[in-house]
Amino acid sequence: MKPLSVLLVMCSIFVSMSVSAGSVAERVSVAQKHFDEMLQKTPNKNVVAIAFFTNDMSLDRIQNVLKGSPLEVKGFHHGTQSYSGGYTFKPGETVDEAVQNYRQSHMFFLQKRMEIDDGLLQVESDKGLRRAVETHRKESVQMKKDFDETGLRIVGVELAGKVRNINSFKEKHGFVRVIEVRNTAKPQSAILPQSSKLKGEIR
Amino acid sequence: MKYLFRLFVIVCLFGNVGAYANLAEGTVSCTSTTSSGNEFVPSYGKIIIDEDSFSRYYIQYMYWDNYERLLWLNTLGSSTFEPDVTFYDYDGEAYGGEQFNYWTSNLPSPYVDTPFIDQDGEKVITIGSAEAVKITHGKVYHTITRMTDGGGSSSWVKLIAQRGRQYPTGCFSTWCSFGCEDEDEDNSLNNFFTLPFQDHFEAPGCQRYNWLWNITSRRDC
Repeated sequence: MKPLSVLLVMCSIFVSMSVSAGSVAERVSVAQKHFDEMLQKTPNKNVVAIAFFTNDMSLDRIQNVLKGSPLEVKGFHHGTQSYSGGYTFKPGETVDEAVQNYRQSHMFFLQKRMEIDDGLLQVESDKGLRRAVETHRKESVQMKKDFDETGLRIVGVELAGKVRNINSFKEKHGFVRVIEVRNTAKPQSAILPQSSKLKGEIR
Repeated sequence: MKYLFRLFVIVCLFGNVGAYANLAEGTVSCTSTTSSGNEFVPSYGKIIIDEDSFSRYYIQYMYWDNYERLLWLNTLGSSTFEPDVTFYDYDGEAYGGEQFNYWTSNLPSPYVDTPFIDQDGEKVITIGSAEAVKITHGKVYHTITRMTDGGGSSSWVKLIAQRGRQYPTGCFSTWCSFGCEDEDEDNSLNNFFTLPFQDHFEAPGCQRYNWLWNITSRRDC
């Protein structure tokens, strides 16, 4: 390996470490400050916000928590260090319907991934690519096992309502780590929880 | 030793300076001393576009085969990456409309992209990475999403690898990811068409491609 290449690889590791250190804490801090300001100045303003959790939790549990809440549920987020995603409610979709559809989609695409990986292993000859596909497939298998054992675990829920009502939700439920007001109509990257029950964590 | 470490830090940080934002146009400068070429385009990809009883969807795979392919993304701490899936809509018959409902990805800090400025005639649906510096070679990445019906039963598809930057650094929202701008008129240095419309790949369907630094070879699945 040439000296310049070594330097560039070291730089990329250094930069990567610099970026990951503190960025989550900073984001949590900024979100908290922003929400607290809104609570003070415009408590009756209607907003869409994401309640991110301290630890991931089962979809069943959050489904029960949300029953009877005056807030409108807009979507869910799932996520680990290895993968993230979510589900946005269709217009008029109830929480119970969304939970069922979310599960179905999650399993459907996991199954699809495994089929695609199997197909690639049949037609691709490049050794590096094959190794990567095999690892990718193992992740899918582990994710499916996680799903079978612990269900779909989520890291946040999107809520619509008055700022003060969203704050009440946070105060009532100790599992909420931070409220981040959404500034786009599309899902943002998740603030990942501090711990996860999933075994499929591949860092 | 201290001197060498300081020099190392300066070299790394120097590779990250040069960003200024042209927020009105949704772009930033991406000047880099360590890399200025196309070291962000996946060397391999696969796209499957189809529908089930629930909706239309796509599944996209990406793979970088060695670290040189990722130099630009990996040496700029605030880099972002957006693998766009674009549907031909100049005839109003796009297969895909917009992202909706379920989505997932193993890209670092993924988000659903909101097009800054809609381009007439094209429907762009993207799951981007807000922390592209963490993308590694030798790993398969995927972006998966459901999408609305764009109005047509089939349409051409274009795949674009787009590099960008967080602005301000540390913000992971789609509104903080700006595409890079450069001197050439068509901005082709920052938006590589790994599968152009001219190839006439039609959705629904499946394609694989290898990007060989300056040319794409593609084939059916």
